[in-house]
Amino acid sequence: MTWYLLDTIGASLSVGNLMLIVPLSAAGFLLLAYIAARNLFRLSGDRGEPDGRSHKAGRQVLMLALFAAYILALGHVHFDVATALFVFCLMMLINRDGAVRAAIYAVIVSLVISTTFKVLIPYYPFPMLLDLI
Amino acid sequence: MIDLAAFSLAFSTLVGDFGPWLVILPGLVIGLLGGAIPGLSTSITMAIFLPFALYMDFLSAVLFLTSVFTGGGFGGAIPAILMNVPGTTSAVATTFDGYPMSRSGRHNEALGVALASSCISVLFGYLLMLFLIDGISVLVLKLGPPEMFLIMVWGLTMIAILGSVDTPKALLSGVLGVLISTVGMSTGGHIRGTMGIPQLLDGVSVVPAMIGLLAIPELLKMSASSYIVETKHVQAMSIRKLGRGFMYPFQHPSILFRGSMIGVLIGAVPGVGSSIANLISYAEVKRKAKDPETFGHGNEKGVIAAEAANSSSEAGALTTLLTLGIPGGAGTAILLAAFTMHNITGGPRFVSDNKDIVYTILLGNIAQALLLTPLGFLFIYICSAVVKVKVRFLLPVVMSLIVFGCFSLTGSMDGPYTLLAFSFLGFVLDRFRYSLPAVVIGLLLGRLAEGELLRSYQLTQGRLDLIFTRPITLILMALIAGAILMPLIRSIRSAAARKSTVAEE
Repeated sequence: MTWYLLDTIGASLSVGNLMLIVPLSAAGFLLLAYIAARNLFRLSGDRGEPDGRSHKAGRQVLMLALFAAYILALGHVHFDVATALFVFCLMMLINRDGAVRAAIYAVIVSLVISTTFKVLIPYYPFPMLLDLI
Repeated sequence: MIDLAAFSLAFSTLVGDFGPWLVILPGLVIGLLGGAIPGLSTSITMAIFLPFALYMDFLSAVLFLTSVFTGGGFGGAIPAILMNVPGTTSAVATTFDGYPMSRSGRHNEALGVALASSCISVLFGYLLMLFLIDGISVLVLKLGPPEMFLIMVWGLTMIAILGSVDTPKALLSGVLGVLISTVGMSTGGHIRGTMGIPQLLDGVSVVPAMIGLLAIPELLKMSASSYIVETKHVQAMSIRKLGRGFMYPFQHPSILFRGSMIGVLIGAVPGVGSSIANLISYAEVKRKAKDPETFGHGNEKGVIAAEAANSSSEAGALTTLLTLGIPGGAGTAILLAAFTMHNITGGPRFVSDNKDIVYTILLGNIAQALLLTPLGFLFIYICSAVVKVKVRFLLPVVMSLIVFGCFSLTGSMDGPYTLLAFSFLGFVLDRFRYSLPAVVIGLLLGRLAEGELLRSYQLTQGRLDLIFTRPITLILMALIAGAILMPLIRSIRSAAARKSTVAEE
């Protein structure tokens, strides 16, 4: 928030540029200070930490990392290949049973989604390995 | 008032010609599918099928595209209710109570409530437009930047009304949302917070950001369950429960009426549209409810309010397009393209010279609302099978669809990258119990609010006090003040009443 405020001030000191962002940032800082003070002194007994869900967090972080890898790979790998890999890995992450079934499912899902979007929206490039075969 | 001669001509055109009916049904099905696929919003679906309109006559083309619009308006509620994925900005408020209803096994009821609210409010909106089409355009022309700014503020008060457990955190989340929405080139031409990334000059892409914030954290949490609805016996698709849900809005006509009115009026304001109407309608119903604490935990009234407003806003938006030639949002912009393809320009002249065509369009939309009811039932019946699919199979498909949808929205990797960035943000904020809906509301309204505030400032040449001389501004200010103060006064009164009861005992 501080960085954004400084960047905005750096862009221009005109009223039009600052009239919403400065008061809003000020309110944001006040709220932040209040929340920090409350957590520090445990005014409300709420420390702002996750509630009993930490044991599930590990898998969620892994899933999010996989999702990130999928999106970042899309720019470099073909859409159908990346999607098939993502679907397979995510299925295995959720439940390790049935790798063969997961692989078949991943290929089918990837082909159906990629082809549907490619047909529906021909204006955008959906690079697919299927096109090269 | 209605021009009876033009009305009867319109009626006979619609009844006597089979052509328009041939496009309404496919249009509704396409709209339902487009709205229900996460990420593939109604406007994109309309854009995809726009070329088809070129091969139709003007009336059929408009009826076809408005059918897609109507179908999509309800279709967006399906992923919002079943998976917390608001496919469009207008379905945000539907997730607040629709998704908790699904998680508690009342998905049939929630979908029934949404369908009835959508159909009735579309019907109501277009019936109202038949009578008020001239009046609404006059009213819309009277709204200037100060009034538009106040409408945004009205929407932003929703952040305080959401009733998060932790109000300071909800407010901070709202501030964060507004600040993020102002990234990029401002209305005044200043570039802020882009970090040198040219794609951010136009600001953050709202739909991918919204899906990343609301849907991805929820989908990640869903991975801990085997099914969306865990209890086997409530997973079943039940026409009886759907019907019960469908009848529920009829027990609350005042909520339906209020939501529809808000939808029509706000939908008619260019650039504002359904994304704000559903939030304001939800906030208003919650403010007035006797059980506000149940909102956000699966209260049917929240679904009625949100769906009534976002569906009826279509009527308002179409009216502005017909009477002023101004598109209110992406959907009506596509309709405007269809108008142009047929060499027709909307505006007061168009309405006065072609009243029969205008009435035919409005009557055709009323027919769409009636047809949507049985079609929606069938569609819901098929879609609600989603709760019977194991999360292990469902989750990868939904997440992939979202990524493809976001790519389609921006036409480049910018959409998926935005989705990813906001998924991380949403995950972290959710872990620390910040309000994600508040961030989304700020994100939706912040940029618009800043633009209107700046225009108001320029209009008054820096003397914002001149705003107080505008009667509509004063009415809106009074409404906002009342909306904020009334619940406060009510809670003080009820606290005083509780105290006196305790003292008497």
